[in-house]
Amino acid sequence: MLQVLIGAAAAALAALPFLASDAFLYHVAILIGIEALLALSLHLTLRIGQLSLAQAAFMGMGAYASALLTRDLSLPFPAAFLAAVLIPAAIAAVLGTVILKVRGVHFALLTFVLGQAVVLIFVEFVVPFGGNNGLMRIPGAEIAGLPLQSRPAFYALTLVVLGAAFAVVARLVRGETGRILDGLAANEALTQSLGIDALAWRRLVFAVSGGVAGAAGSLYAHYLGYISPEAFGITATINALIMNVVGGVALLAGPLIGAVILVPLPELFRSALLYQQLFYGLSLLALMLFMPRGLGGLVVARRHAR
Amino acid sequence: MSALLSVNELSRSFGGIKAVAGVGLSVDQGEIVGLVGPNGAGKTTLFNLITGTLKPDAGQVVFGGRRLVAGEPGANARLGLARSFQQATTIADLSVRAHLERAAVFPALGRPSFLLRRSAVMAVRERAAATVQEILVFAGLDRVAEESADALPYGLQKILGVAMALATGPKMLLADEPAAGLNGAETLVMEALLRRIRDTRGIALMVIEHDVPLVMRLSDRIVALAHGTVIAEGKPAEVRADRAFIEAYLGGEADFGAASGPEGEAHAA
Ligand SMILES: Nc1ncnc2c1ncn2[C@@H]1O[C@H](COP(=O)(O)OP(=O)(O)OP(=O)(O)O)[C@@H](O)[C@H]1O
Ligand SMILES: [Mg+2]
Repeated sequence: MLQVLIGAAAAALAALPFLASDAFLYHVAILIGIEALLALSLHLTLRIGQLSLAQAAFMGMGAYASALLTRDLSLPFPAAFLAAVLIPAAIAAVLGTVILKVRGVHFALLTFVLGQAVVLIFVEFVVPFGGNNGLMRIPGAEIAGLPLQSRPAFYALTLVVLGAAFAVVARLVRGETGRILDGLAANEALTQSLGIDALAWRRLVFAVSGGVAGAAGSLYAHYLGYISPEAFGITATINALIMNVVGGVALLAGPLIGAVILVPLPELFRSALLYQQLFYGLSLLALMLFMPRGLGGLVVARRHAR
Repeated sequence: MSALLSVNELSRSFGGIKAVAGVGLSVDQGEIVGLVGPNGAGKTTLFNLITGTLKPDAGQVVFGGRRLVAGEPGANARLGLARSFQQATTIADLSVRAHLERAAVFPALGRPSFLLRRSAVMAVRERAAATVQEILVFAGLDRVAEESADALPYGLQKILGVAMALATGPKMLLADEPAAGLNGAETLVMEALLRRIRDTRGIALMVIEHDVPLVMRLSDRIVALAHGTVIAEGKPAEVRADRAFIEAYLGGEADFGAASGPEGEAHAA
């Protein structure tokens, strides 16, 4: 019953921009979708007990790949989008083989450095990445000649990508593969003794997280039409982490809930520009103090209580 | 006859401590080998080296004619080298049956790429429920199958550890102090289970145990370890009489020869 209600609420929320047909609402909704993808990619790394601070860098790889392939090589958007997913995924898989052996805070630091190095590459290699100015005039998204650059169309595209990403991630973190990942998180030595290769499974999850971040990057690049390196630095990753904390780290829906709440928040406090950061910070503090399991945790607690 | 497991010049240090120093031993098909030695002798470390949980500084492990890869406990488990742990290992909130279900299917899912071997994975999934039921009965866990493993008495948790190892379908089982922390009655149940694993399934066993009478009764052969090296090896009666063993393990005080054996058990229990 509760699940049906939540599903209905989510569907209503997703349909809201179409119903209101308001340009600003579309804009915020698209940003929520993109941020939710980045937060989802971070959620995946948390699922394997690792905090990756390189997720925005993977998003950047997707953004730059998608932008360069469409703009300079005239690849159609769907092909560029696919590349924007596969390139960061492959890089994450290769990197993961080495860095996933490092655990805990060391992994967070290592990925922080790697993420900064990626941003530095975007800055330093003016050809092809455009240096500090980034890339301009990125072609709009279109599929088979159908332009998707209008806000309603791009919002629809974002919803489809978001839905597909959540479907893939749900498939991975639930059911049989979910039992493997949960087992590794709960008792690695035992799970390995039952025949599981911990590194191989963690690498898969890390690769998928790179791919999901890359998808966010592609959407971001084609929606805005320009990208620059600083968008893919540590601040973006930290925001994605906060979304997970606010939405509930243990929940698959956590990243989405966090994005829905946090992306519009700065907009709400816009009139009080001076106090914007302060309000924002205090709201977060209140959330973490009073709801340590995130807002999503409330729903789960309810369900357990009955 | 070639050994099922053979360990060659295996060594591993932690900092300055030589936990395992040049250990060689072998276990035949269907044999029960007891591994004894005082605290800190390197017994658990030796198990970790054999299963690939730890990488050795030197030496190698050959199992079923194949040289095992160090650092790959999952792969080695899939070759039929199962283990149970010194501390009972359960996953929070999971029933006994759920633990065994995982143990039964995990070997078929060792790496993500295994999902592509659809028919093999399907076959294991289909067999899993029957395998689990059979193991539940075999290990005497059928009455607590639906209970949360955390809530079980410690003795049953240790039995579950052995049962999980069994559910992976091993050729050999390494049991790390299966009777540690168990009361007298539980110890007898464990002993009977270990014996049945060998007798009815032909699975070879290597058993670390501080309960000397128990391990002497159970084992075909004993290997005694002290300070990371093998100090005595042979039939239980031989090792029991071995000076080096008596001194290392018991400080040369006790004479437990008379108290062991099936007759002595009555007193102990
Ligand atoms: N991961 C580790 N890091 C550092 N030292 C270790 C580690 N594991 C074991 N040791 C050391 O290696 C030596 C052997 O330990 P091990 O656990 O193998 O002994 P054991 O024979 O199993 O003892 P017990 O009967 O108490 O279980 C000990 O000195 C121990 O402190
Ligand atoms: Mg030990």
